[in-house]
Amino acid sequence: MTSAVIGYGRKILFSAVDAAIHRGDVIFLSGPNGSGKSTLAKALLGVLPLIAGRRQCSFARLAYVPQSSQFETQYPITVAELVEQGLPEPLLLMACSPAARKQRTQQVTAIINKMQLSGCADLLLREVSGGQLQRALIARALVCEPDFLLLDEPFSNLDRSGRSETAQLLRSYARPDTALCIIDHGDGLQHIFYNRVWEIDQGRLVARVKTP
Amino acid sequence: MERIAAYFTQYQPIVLLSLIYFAAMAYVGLFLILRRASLYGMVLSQVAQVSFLFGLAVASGLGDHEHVYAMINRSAAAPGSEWHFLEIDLYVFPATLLFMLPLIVSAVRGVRNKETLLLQGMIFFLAAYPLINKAFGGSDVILAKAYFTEILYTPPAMFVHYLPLVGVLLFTLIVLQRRILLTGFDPIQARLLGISPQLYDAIFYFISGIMLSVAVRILGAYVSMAALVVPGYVALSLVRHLRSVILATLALAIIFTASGFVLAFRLDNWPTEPLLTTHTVLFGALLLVARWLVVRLCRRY
Repeated sequence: MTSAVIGYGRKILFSAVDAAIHRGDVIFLSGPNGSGKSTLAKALLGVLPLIAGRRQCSFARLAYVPQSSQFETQYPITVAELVEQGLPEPLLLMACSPAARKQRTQQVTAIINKMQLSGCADLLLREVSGGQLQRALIARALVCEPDFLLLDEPFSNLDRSGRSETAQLLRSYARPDTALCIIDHGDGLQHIFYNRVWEIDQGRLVARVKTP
Repeated sequence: MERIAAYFTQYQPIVLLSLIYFAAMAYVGLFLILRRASLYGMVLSQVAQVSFLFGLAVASGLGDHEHVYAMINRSAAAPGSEWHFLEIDLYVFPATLLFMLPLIVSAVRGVRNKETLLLQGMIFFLAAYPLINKAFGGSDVILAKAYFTEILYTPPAMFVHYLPLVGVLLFTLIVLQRRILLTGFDPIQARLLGISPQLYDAIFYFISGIMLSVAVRILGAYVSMAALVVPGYVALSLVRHLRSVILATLALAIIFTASGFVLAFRLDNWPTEPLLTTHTVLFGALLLVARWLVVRLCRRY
């Protein structure tokens, strides 16, 4: 992003953001409550249009893990159906070939097993625990094998072991050909490997070098 | 029993066609409930009601007043009188689109305090109805019969006339069902998959608006509102998975309507439409209470 002005309508949250994410980056994005972390995330993903400035993206597949505490859980869909939402959505699924549908199911099953969600794959979102929902959201993001993954407070609903497991999973995802951006308050910091730090300070994005 | 059977035989086409319209409205209503936009549906039904009257009023200003108002005062219409649908549609549909457009824009763009704004719109359209009727010289009879359309006096030709339109809209909704659900459920994820939430929201609200406009004309405003919210709401409480919810919504819509007609034929000197409306709501409430009792009993034993 170059000279990006980010906000909603007339409300400007960031006036001139210059930021670049490269393959191999694991960015830790932090800032106080209400500082605009999630807004910046949406701008990075391209789902929130910039008010001014330029955004260029060389990543082919972007994925996002929203905050599970703010996620809609009253829809009558199962964990498996949620994970399937991460795959490209054909206009008419029934018109797809049986082979394509089978491949779709296999992809979903594989990621569900990997995320240890097979026991709750058929449960509705409102029936699973906060930790399971968090893992399901990560599974939805990972099912399309993204090359850029952005996670908004992925450790917020997890206990100590859950945090450790999630961090381990994210570590396995962090490769030279992918980029990762994790938004957190700092609670999960000790669990995650990262090589760059972005801090939001009074409407400015400050890049810091990671201190050992 | 014989009397009910006789009525069913007499009104068979109307009852069967009403079932189709009721089920179609319930299907649309389920999407509205899932999007937490039931209030939008309620306002739309009032917009459709006003648009219908406005269109009729303009048409009557240009033609035969009595003939056009027979669309509302159906029991008083001469038997076998012709229904000039195309002539009336020419005025009603543009009026519907004109009144509906601000609602669609507000639903798609997202405005602050949307519920309060919608409520104000609903109050406005409710109050505008008698004023439009008065301004165009409509009688009190028209006003009295406006909210509860006379379903049993509706010529089957009117049901059949709008059936292709409802069919096409329903087919479009079924084809786009997954995308419409996704954009309502998680717009950010939809956008990441290259699906525009604004586009699909606009398509959905446009389709639901047109379908409601037709249903209000045929079933009446209150019957349409009941069809819109009750089956979907009850189905969501009774069954778990989305596919089952959709099927249960359609099944409940048919059961509510069919049993409502049985009740209306049993109490044949009572007005049909209020009976259908209250019966639908009470039947739905009864099912919810029964479900609650079953769950309590299952937990205890």
